[in-house]
Amino acid sequence: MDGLVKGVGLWKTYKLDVTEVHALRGLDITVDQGEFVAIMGPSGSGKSTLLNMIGCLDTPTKGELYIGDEKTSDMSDKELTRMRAEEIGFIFQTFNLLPALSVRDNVEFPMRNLSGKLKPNKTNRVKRAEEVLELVGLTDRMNYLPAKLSGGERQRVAIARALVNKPKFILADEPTGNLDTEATENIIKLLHEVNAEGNTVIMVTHDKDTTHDTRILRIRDGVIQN
Amino acid sequence: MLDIAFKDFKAKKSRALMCIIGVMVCVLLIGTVNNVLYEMENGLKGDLGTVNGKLYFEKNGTGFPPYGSILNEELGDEVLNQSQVNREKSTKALFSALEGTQTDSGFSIIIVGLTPGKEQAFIQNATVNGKSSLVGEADNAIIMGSEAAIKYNATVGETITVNDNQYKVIGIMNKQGTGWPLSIDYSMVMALNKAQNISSMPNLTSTVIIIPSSSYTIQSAETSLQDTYPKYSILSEQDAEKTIDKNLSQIRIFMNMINAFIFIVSIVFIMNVMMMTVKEKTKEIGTMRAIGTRKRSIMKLIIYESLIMSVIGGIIGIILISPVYNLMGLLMGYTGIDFLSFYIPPLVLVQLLVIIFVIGTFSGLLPAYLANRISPIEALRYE
Repeated sequence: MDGLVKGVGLWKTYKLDVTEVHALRGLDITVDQGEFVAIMGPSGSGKSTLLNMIGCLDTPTKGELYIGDEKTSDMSDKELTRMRAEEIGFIFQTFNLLPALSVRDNVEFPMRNLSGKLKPNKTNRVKRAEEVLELVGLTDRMNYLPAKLSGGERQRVAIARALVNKPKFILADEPTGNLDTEATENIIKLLHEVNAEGNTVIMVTHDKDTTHDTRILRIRDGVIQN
Repeated sequence: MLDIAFKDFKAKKSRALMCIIGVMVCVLLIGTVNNVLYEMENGLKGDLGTVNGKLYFEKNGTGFPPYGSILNEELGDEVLNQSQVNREKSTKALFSALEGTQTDSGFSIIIVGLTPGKEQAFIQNATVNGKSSLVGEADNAIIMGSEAAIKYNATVGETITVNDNQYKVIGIMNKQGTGWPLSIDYSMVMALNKAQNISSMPNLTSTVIIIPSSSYTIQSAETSLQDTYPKYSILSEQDAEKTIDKNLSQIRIFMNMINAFIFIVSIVFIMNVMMMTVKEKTKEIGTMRAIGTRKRSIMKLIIYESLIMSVIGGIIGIILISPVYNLMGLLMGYTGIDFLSFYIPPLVLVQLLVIIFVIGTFSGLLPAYLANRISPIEALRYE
């Protein structure tokens, strides 16, 4: 199977009473290992639906979706949960850090979701969390609660959290949507650094300025146009 | 997940405090009610010791103490002359509650009149300070139970006045058992004729306290006497126990209904708070689910949080039971309460630990189930 993420003929249909709404209409997509892909499109174009599918939060009504060699379009909820834990790193627009946990605990948290041999012990989890926080430049903020951090710092924590399980790719949903210009530049720079180290990044964005040096996929009416 | 639950718990102090207070009050109330029930059972069962090894011959349908039983002395003498009865040790006795003598705990002083020289038939194993026999003593000599002595601040050798009558205290019994005072503790043992005079019941008695003769066991003497006197009751320890159990069962039902009510209110209260928690945490739960947290782990997180609050509230409740119980005793007029003492009957403690565990688990179950139904996609959109 070519491509790290490969979707063939993806349809997503929602039923509203008797009306059927097609969010995706036979969409094809391929993202290769090591790429930085930006998905752009207007509201209601199907961006979020596609993101949910690639992120294993949803499955297509029709079509096939592969992540690596695994066909996720037919997976059960339990298998999708495992995929999200092991293979995908999420970055959200509103950071979505757990407010009661310190920065270190937030970054350590995804490692608890691994199972079997993949799950490190407590000492190794903390060690790995500290390594990743060093990578995003937040060593001095490790014991802070998220509420004490700036927006840019919170998004850095979210990036560290996304990286901590060494996922196959990072899925960023408008990661700079809540940040000022300076923080936006820093986060995009950091995402490029992460990408340069071999991590695949798939980013949904409205902001054209954040898409330099990326492959842009434009989505409209449930299909990719370029 | 337990450590995450604990951090969550610490982060939401006001909500946690509400739950803790709820469980604390629940445990405190249930614990106090059960403590009272336990002590009451102990007290009533303790009275069985007064009946142990002997039989009470009395009017049909009377319990213990046999206030309501009235027998004439001739019948008493007739019973004492039966072959089943050890005449040397058995005695006619008159039991009467002395009017206007309520102690602080609400019980009246009991006059127990019996034939001098046969006091052992009633006081049996009680240790007596002073004399334990009325033989050769003045007509107004009495042996007092511990609570009666406290009530009249009596000491051995002095003369006390009760309802305009003067009595010479020749002995004071030590308190029986470790629980609530028993009937014997409220008694004033005196000569039968004196008790008859005070109670205005000349030639009447309440009962014949029977020690079986050597050729009879308690059971065989009871059966044989019952056959001889079918219209009267022969009260044995087993009969007294049945009467006590019958009375206690109704109290138990009432107390358990109170317990069940407190228990259900407590579960509903904490469940409600936990539902609010789940609602508040919708986005967090969605985030956790999105980054791969299993449904089972989310469920554990909610139940652990509920258990932590339940255990903390429960432990505080348990610690407070003894002081509150002592305070209740003080308000009811008991003296000599040691506020530094801490005692909860082991059975009550086990009950409370089970209740704490059940409250913690059950009140977390429904919220945990609802948390699991949250779709991560919807939850991530939730603001």
